Amino acid sequence: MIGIIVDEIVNSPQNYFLFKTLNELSKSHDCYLFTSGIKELPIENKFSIMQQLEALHHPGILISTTMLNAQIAANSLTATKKYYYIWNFEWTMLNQFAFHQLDKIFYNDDVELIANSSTHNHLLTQLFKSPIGIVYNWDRKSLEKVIL
Amino acid sequence: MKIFVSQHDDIRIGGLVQALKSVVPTTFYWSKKDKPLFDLIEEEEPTIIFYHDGDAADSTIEYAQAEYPGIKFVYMQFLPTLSKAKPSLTLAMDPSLVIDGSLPIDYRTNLIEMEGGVKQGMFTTEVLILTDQVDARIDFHLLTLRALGYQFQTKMYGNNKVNLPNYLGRLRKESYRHALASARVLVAFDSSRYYDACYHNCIPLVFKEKKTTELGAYEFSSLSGLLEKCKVAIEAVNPELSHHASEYTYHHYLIDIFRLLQEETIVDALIQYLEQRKVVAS
Repeated sequence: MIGIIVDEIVNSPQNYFLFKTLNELSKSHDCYLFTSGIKELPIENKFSIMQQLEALHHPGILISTTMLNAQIAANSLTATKKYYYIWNFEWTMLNQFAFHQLDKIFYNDDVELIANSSTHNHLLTQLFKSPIGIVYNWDRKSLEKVIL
Repeated sequence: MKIFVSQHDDIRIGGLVQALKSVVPTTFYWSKKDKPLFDLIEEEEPTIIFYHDGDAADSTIEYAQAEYPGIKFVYMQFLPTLSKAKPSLTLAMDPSLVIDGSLPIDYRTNLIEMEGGVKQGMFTTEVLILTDQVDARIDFHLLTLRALGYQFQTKMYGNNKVNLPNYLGRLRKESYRHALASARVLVAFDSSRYYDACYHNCIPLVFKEKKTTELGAYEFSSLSGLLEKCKVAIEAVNPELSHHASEYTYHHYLIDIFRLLQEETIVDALIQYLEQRKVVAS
């Protein structure tokens, strides 16, 4: 079972790649997308879309996609494996933040990091810990290689 | 004995107060906005009052000195003054203000903040930047940070946000010691953390200002020079700087201050404090 947590679903390039990969993965796996709301679907979904809170008792692989929902993944008691797929460096967009807010997410032993590119991979290794793998724009093959 | 120190955000005053509190727990910050000077004297009966330019702007200090000769007044002078007040001691917070009888106060090791710092994985890095002294409006600062982030493993913490991914947010006061203990090199635009870095054997590289002359090899004036020095410093094996830093602490300053104020009990307590920590008193 593969669960992915996102914030709001909008028609963005990131969500387009995500939906495309989930549609392909759902042919062989149970796939769930946990969200806090839907504005616009990028393409038709062939997997379940559920409330974000449901992620807390998802009994399978759980992939978070933002700093906010990475905390949901971190607090899940039922997930078999937890990942944080870092699409961009969110902390650079915050105005005021303290280091202890980052360390709970990026140094969490239960949550493995997934980088979006080799450049990200290099920087994340220097700043936090080595990502478990690189998945470029939700590429299905590399995602399967990393999480399965 | 009660000691009151007028509030100021200068890092040296913070260091002196923290050091003083370790031997005289009845040391307090005071703000004349919250409590006027004469109310403070009447209600709290202080033994010593440390004040700065903001308090010396009117003649209240002058009158208080005449009215209460038993209280010792220590003037922390940042600016040239026309005040007629005659303090028991003047601390020159700017080297250009040193005159006969005044004691120059520079940045020193803050033992209270630095003691107990240990290497921690999350803080481990080649280059550490504390952004409190970084000014994002100065091109040279940004250029330097960018170049360091590109060439070395660089982590930046502090109250001033820098628009680079290497900036990882504000640090709790008690975390500075761990950050310094876990870094190989500290790059700074002023010397405020020079001795704190030395205390943890973190090699400080400080931007050369006209007034700093004593730091020698630990200064940089150009970006290329800094990058070269950084490379050498990162590769340095076991730099032994902590002994040097232990001899220059705010506690040592306090010994000088209270000797001049003829408060031998406090001097003895400070020496004892340093001896307990095997730090050589001057």
